[in-house]
Amino acid sequence: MTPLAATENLVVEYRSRGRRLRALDDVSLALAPGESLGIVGESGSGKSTLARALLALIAPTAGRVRYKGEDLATLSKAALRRRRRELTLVFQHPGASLDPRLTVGESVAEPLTVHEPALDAAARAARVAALLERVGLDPSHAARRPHELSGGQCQRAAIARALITRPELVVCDEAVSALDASVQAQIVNLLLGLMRTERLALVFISHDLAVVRRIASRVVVLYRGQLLESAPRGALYERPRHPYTRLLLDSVMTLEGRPSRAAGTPPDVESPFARPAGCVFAGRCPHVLARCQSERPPLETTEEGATVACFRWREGVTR
Amino acid sequence: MHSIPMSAEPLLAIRDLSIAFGGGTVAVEGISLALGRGGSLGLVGESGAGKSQLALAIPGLTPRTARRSGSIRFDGAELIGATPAALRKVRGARIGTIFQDPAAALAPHLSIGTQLAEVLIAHGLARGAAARHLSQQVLERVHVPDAAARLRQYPHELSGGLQQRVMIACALIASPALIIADEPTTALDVTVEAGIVALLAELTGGGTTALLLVSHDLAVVATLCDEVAVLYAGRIVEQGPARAVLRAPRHPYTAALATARLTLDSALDAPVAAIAGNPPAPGERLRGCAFAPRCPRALSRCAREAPPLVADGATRFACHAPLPAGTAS
Repeated sequence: MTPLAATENLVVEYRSRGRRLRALDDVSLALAPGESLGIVGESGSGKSTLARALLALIAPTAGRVRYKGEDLATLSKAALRRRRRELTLVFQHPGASLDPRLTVGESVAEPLTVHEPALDAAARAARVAALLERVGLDPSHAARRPHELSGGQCQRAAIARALITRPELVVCDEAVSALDASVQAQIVNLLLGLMRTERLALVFISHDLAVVRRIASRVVVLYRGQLLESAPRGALYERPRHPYTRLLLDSVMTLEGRPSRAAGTPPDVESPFARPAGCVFAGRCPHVLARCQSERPPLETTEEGATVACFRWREGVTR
Repeated sequence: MHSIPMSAEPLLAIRDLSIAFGGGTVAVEGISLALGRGGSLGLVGESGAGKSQLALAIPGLTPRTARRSGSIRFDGAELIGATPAALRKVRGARIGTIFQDPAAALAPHLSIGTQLAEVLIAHGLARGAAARHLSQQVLERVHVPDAAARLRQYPHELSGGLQQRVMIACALIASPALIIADEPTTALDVTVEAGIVALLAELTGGGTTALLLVSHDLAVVATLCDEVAVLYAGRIVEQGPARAVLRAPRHPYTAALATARLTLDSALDAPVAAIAGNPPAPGERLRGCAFAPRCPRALSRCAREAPPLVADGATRFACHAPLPAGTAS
């Protein structure tokens, strides 16, 4: 079956004062219609670049982004605009999704004026009202401006704006990271419900492994622009194969109050412009070999359907 | 361990503190708290609960428009009504502060060495070569690699994690009796956060520096603090030993905060236990318990009568329908 969206050997580079920063380095991934794919990574991992590349908001330096089999870079402007109603984005800060000068109702309705200009005002208002209710907002919120709403309500409105064109794929870039745990739980429940009822596919990008686990059925781990591990949820959380995935899981703190096992790991001090010849994680890896410094480990497939880029995964170093 | 006589005054004693702004907005109300020398206390609650306002009021960092009443005794002296000069002496020298965003708290145009030395010079503790030596020493204490070279660098040349270590060094350099940390790891990556939490545990675990930690992350508080106070709508609803309170809460709000957390073993087949509704708007005053409209255990009495804070063992809670003791959340 053709995947809904896919990247093939995707490379994205930025230029800064004559230097090249490779934000994504040879990343291949795919997701099926209705699937939820989690992307986990820290600052500088390339996860936000990936979000933008999936929506054709930035162009690949090399490789391809495909949507329903079509290479987005080869589409005409008009064809890309038609695709845009099927592909939407929710940002971390609702301020990035909602215009502070518009009412919430106007912000949610705005994509319709672009993508469904034939719709009359009454039909548009009805669509907005129904969707606001679906995301758990009161009809009266339509007349308010973003600053009159709480953080959780703003994020509900941002989700409504992303859904108004009935997309098939929504990319959430740290969409719940700025919220209190109590509100985060409400938004996670909303997204889970929407995936079920609207048959949405979701790319859920976050640095929070516990939140990703609840939403995504498959998880990709990025580090300094490279895909280090990709696995079905159960395999990734129960039997991580890459030492970096292990480090991320060990960093999660609990109410037991035990100090994290990850605390002693050296921090990432390499410049983002540095392009190591070997494994990008070698400098911090507790299981590093001489070979890891000079040779990039290839992605290998495990018996559980995971892929991992580590010379030592078969030895079970992450147990 | 040496024992402290019962009559000894704690390092920090807050009594019946209220902070109000114009237009009837009350940030916190009727707060009483104590923190012993070398102790650690976490303040938790949702955004808007008043936890940062409470912490910032201690070194006198509340906005000028705020009206404060009650008492904040620190190290034997009353800080409410203290002169700006007296408060300046306390800040930096006796109370160090750490904020969420080191990039905003550090001066961008001053080298790391200058910023550290300024604290020493401002409080007359050292200058010149002695200040440089102490600055390098404190950077080594917070495990900044190549400390001597870092003194000459500027904040933007450091990663977020290193900037946070520098801010901790600034808070620590004058050997304060109390460090106030307001969401010190919230903006950091998970692996960097683990390192900063371990550092704060190392620096405050020795019994000489007390820690007042503001965090919405219950796990960070459980890891770093002996005691916790849970704030809701500007009031303390539960307080006591941190791990006991967070793992077996008595107040339904604490329990709801704990169960709303997503963890690496959250059930995957049921909705997340979110807290319904929103906290009251700032300035909104309720006659009874402020949590009653959202509370799954609310009785009709809860809407009429505000429950007082009552003690049961080491824990105190303000609830007419508390959870039984020893129920893990």
